[in-house]
Amino acid sequence: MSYWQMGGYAVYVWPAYGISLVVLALNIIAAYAPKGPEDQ
Amino acid sequence: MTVQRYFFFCLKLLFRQRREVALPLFFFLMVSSLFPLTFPAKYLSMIAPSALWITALLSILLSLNNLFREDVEDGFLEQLLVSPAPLGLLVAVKLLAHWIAYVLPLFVALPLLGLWYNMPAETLSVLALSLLLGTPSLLALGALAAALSAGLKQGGTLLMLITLPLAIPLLLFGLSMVDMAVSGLSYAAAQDFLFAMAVVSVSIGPTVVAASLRISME
Amino acid sequence: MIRRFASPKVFYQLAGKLMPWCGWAFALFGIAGLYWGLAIAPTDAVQGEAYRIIYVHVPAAWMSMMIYGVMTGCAIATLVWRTKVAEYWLLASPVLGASFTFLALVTGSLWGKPMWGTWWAWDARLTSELILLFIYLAILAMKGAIPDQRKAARVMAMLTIVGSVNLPIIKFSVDWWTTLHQPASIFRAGGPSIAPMMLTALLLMALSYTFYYFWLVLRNIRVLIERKDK
Repeated sequence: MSYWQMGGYAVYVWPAYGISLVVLALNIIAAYAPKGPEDQ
Repeated sequence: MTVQRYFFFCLKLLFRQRREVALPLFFFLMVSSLFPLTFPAKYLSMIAPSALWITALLSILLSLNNLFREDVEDGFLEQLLVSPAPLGLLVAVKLLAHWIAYVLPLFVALPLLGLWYNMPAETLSVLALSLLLGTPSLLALGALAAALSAGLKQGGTLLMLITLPLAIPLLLFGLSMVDMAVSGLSYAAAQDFLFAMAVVSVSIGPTVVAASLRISME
Repeated sequence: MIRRFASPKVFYQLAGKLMPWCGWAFALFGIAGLYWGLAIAPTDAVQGEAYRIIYVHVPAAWMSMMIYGVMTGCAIATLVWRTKVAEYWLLASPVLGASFTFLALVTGSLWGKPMWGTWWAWDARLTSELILLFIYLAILAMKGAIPDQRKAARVMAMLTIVGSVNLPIIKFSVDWWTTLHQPASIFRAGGPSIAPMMLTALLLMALSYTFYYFWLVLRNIRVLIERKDK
């Protein structure tokens, strides 16, 4: 698998995928987090 | 109130508050002086058009803070909303009065700024022309933002945040005019664009601002 | 028939049924796209492995614009017909739109560094995307400043429409400005020439992101409807 051999470029590629995952996850959490008692 | 009477009413009001009306002009002068003060002299001619355009933009945004504030606070705006005169026309003449009171003085200050920035007269006159063509559109955009943020806390800051991204084309075309003139090329394309934007802003701008006021005040 | 779905009650049910499908589609297309992009697609002749950032960068940029387009449609429905569902949709979208714009900019920077040697450049595309982020932030600022939700939606709608008219102008003016000033020629290259394998991975990721958006926007709308009707 060629991606194992990314070498120096891995410094940039993995953070790009990582931050994408983080932002997507944060939006999912925000959508499903229970809202405060303000609504009740 | 007829549209004509409203126009002179706005002018009278602005004249009565001339001390406050002068504040954005002082801002314009003071901030403009910071660039020649802090930049090394050799860069001054390069940054002059941008610095002046940006400072003019910020001064206009500052002046727009008060565009609808008092009208909202003392209920005058609600009166206008139910008046028989078309709101778009009322907004148009209010903006015209605002331009006369707040933007025209900036042009009076330009010769002094030309001196501070060591700008040749030809460059300064193209800069003045670009501002003349660009400020009606800037005013329309700013008035739209003022209408949408009327009566809100932090309205002034919201006004700036909304207007600045939308004003970027005007900024770029205005600077392009000056740039081309300095390089000795024709600035007709940029000039035509700014003129077209000004025509659109003056013709449909007030209507859009009026619609935004109705949304804000409901 | 469309008008039936304009009612929050009906839309709530429909959204509830569609959400799981969107969620699973996002996951499946995402896994397929990642595998295709990281393992199957060939190494680029010029850029080596670093080009693989495009599989998260380009779809994010596409989403940033698509979501704004969807918001514009909702804005028109909000102002012209006062459609409640359109208002909810408008309220539910800008955070997602801003997130994708942010991702497009950040992943673009991470791609720019190995490819052009710089984290940032004021070329037309990057600048336009940055301005789009500013516009999303302005819309969010308005949303936060207005407590009444229906009024907030209408104000956001007006802003969205004015922004949408402005966006082509902004793109044009920035493009014109940067070409007038001839940035360094290294920014000429738009990216890797798209080999079919790469295009497939790109489309898979784009589909994945699209289903992600619909999944979460439907969820957000349902939450808004729930809170309104308790």
